[in-house]
Amino acid sequence: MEIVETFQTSFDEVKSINFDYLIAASGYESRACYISNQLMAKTKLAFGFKDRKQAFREDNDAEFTRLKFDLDADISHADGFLIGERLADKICNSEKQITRVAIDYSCMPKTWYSAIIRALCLRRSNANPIDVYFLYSPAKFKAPGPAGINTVVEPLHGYCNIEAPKLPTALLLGLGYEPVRALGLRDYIDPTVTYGFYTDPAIESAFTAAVLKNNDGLLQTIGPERSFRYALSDLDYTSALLTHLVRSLSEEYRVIVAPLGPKPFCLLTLILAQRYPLCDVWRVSAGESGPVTVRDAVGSVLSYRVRFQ
Amino acid sequence: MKSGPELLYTFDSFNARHSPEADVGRTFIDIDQYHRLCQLNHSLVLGPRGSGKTTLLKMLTVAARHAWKRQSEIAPQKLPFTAIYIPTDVHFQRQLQSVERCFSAAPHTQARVSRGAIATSVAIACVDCFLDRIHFESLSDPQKERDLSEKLSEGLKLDTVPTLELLRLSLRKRMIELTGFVRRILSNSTDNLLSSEAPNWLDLDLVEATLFACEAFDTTFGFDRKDRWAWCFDELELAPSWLLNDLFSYFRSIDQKIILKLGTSPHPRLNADDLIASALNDFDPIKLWGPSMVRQRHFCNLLASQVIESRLGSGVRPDEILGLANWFGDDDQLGLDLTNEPYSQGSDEWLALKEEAKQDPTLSRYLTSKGIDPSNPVASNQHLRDSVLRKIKPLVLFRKNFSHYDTRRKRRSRKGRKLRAGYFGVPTVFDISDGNPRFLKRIFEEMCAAHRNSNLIDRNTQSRIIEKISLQFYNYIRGIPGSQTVINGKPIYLFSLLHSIGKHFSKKILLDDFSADPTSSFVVNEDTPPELVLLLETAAEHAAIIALDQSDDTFERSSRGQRYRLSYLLAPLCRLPLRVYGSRGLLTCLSEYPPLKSLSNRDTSSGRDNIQETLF
Repeated sequence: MEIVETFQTSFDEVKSINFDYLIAASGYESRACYISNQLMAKTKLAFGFKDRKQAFREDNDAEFTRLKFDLDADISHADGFLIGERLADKICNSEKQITRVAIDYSCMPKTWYSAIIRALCLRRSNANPIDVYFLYSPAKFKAPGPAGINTVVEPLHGYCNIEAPKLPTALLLGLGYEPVRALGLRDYIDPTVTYGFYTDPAIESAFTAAVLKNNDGLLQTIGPERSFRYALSDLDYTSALLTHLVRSLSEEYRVIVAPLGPKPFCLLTLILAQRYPLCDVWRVSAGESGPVTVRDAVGSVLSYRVRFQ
Repeated sequence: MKSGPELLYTFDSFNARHSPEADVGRTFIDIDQYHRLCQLNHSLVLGPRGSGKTTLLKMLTVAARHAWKRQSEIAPQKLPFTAIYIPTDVHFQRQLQSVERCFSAAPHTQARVSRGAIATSVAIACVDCFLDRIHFESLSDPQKERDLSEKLSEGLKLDTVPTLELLRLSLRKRMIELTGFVRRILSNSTDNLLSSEAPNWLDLDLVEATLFACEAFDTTFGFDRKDRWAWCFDELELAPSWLLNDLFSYFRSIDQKIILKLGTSPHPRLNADDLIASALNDFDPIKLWGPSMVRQRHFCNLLASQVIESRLGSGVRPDEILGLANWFGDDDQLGLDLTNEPYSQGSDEWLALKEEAKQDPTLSRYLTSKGIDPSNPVASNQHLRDSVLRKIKPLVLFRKNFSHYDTRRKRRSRKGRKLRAGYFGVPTVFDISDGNPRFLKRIFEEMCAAHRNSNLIDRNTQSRIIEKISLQFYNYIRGIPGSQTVINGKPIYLFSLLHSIGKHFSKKILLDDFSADPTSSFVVNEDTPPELVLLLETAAEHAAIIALDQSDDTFERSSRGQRYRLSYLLAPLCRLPLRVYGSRGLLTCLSEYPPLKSLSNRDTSSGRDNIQETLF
């Protein structure tokens, strides 16, 4: 299948749909059930993390069970492939004219939702479209912890475009609010050019302030002409901006997109990379050494509809 | 004043990889190691990141030498081979690793894909090299190019194309084909499932394909079929391990048409010791660290002058913006007032020693033990002056600048960071760079940005810039993926390990009782855990530690048993002098590092410091 259409939708519209599938993740964050509590679906699946069963995890498992989710509570970060295949098996065999799927990726790692997108793209089309609503519940601001170590630095599985190292590298950073991480990545990859994207306005202004403060050194070196602000609430604009930049850069560079910031930005880069295989999407994380940060839902939901056909 | 290009601040922004060969040739500074590399033999260029490996290898290419020739007053001698420059980088490395993971259930296909990607990359490098020769040697002949393209198309299993540019495009298309193949792979795909799907060109043999291509070029353009071609593989520390191992085995035996010019980190990670043992007589190891102080400063002066010229215009010398002061250096580089006879009563040295001895009873005791009156530190003869006063002066001034004797607590304490300028002046800045071109360019770019009105940059500003860059280097080390390990269940991070070593030496030098023979280097104990050894080799790869005492004609595969010091770029952060004093066992240096405290008890060399004072 191919991604044939994408656009942002309102959550009110989403709430009115009776979905065929609702997919969520159960982890230690309090916001894990926020979206699931508000949606209707015939089949509900939740994947729980194998590790870090702490903070709100027990409550979330109980809530998903109460909401009649089929809960698989022992999935590792590396099991994205299995999740992708299992979902694609279920979703793509539907005989319906349009299959509607809601995926709450607020608490999912990149490895999971990237694998779901890839698995759907790899399936043969039976001509009937599948509309996937990617749903994200933004979190309330919490100051980032101390600078983490970049333990994992690699292309996401299925998001890698091999090319001989004759062309220079362009690095597009989706900036997060953790100190040092983006600068460390840039120093390590050593690209010829670097572009930075950061949310402004964000859902809460404290996010923007933290991003600017903790990436101050990097943004200074990038310069204003290579720094792009985007509104977290305007996914269509951000998608257009990203697409334009990646397409033009890919003529002269090997392009890496490293989404370190909010998940909706990462989602856009994954969709872009599947639609136009012109860039790598890299995962950068502290791995198991990363801190456990409990995040509460702010109360709004961002919805992005992606049609696979 | 010229307005220069946009400032680039990060560590690797000054990488020759980003520069076309012609630009590298235009700005090349000739060094001895380059002439060794130009010989008709196999060479292994060893050096940490930023040490100039890429520059040296690129300087073998036709395009770079052509540009250099245009700049030089004396034309460089013709090379006895044609260089094919084959780059790699972190981007390509991570892509290949990612691909390898995709084929975890299909090891045969995994190997084929990795080899196919490298062979294609080498083929593209060959075509680029042919295009350069045709251009720079005025060989252009459409019919011959067509003949060559057709031969290469056939040999490389490509559809026939009439030009080398189209051939290059076809090779790039192969990578797209490979990406498509990899993207379709499922994690449980086995070799059996994949055998019919994998492109057949994956089995192209690297050596045979290169030989075929080079012979095709030679015969088509009428050159001797025995002409030699050099594979210049750069940054092999980032290449798949099979490639490094294969290339080492080729040192022993490869078709005479190909010679090897390889660039890699100070401790190449090979699978088998016998590869090195058997190859040592077959290549020339060229090390890019640890030159003499005189050679290093000469090189730094030329390079710094280039940066200054590009930023501030020509005719400005490094000392005209930074000054010549060198507080903690030897006499001949000191910026002290030498109007009085050095070390005579009333001289600057005399005053500094007297003042410190008055404050610090441990220094006073030391002088007394040597027969020198602390209240009038004058040596009665030349020998005493040289062996005592001249020797201790840099240490005394260093302690005086960064710590003070607290008479109430009866011990020394560190001075606050904001209280005084620390590291400034041309000799200091040159030494802090460790002769690493990337570090030096980085420092001078920032110094030039701070330069105003043709005056010297004041000492505080210089110190602030140096300290900022030191901190950024520390953060750079922190950001290196894989720079952590676990020993006895405890996580060990390279950046904190190095900081701990630095603090250990700094405490000894600044805070402990005065010693004329302190330690500032460490030996990696033979019983050091292998995880720690690997971490230190990562540090050496990124120029965070510098190997000492190594001879020129060999190289050490492992850091075990080797002596190192911290990079001088970390000295401002840890408050260390830019000198090498004696050494201690690594584990002793880590006795205060919580995750490894238990190991330090095993360090048998802890009680015997090796007092071996050298400048570098």
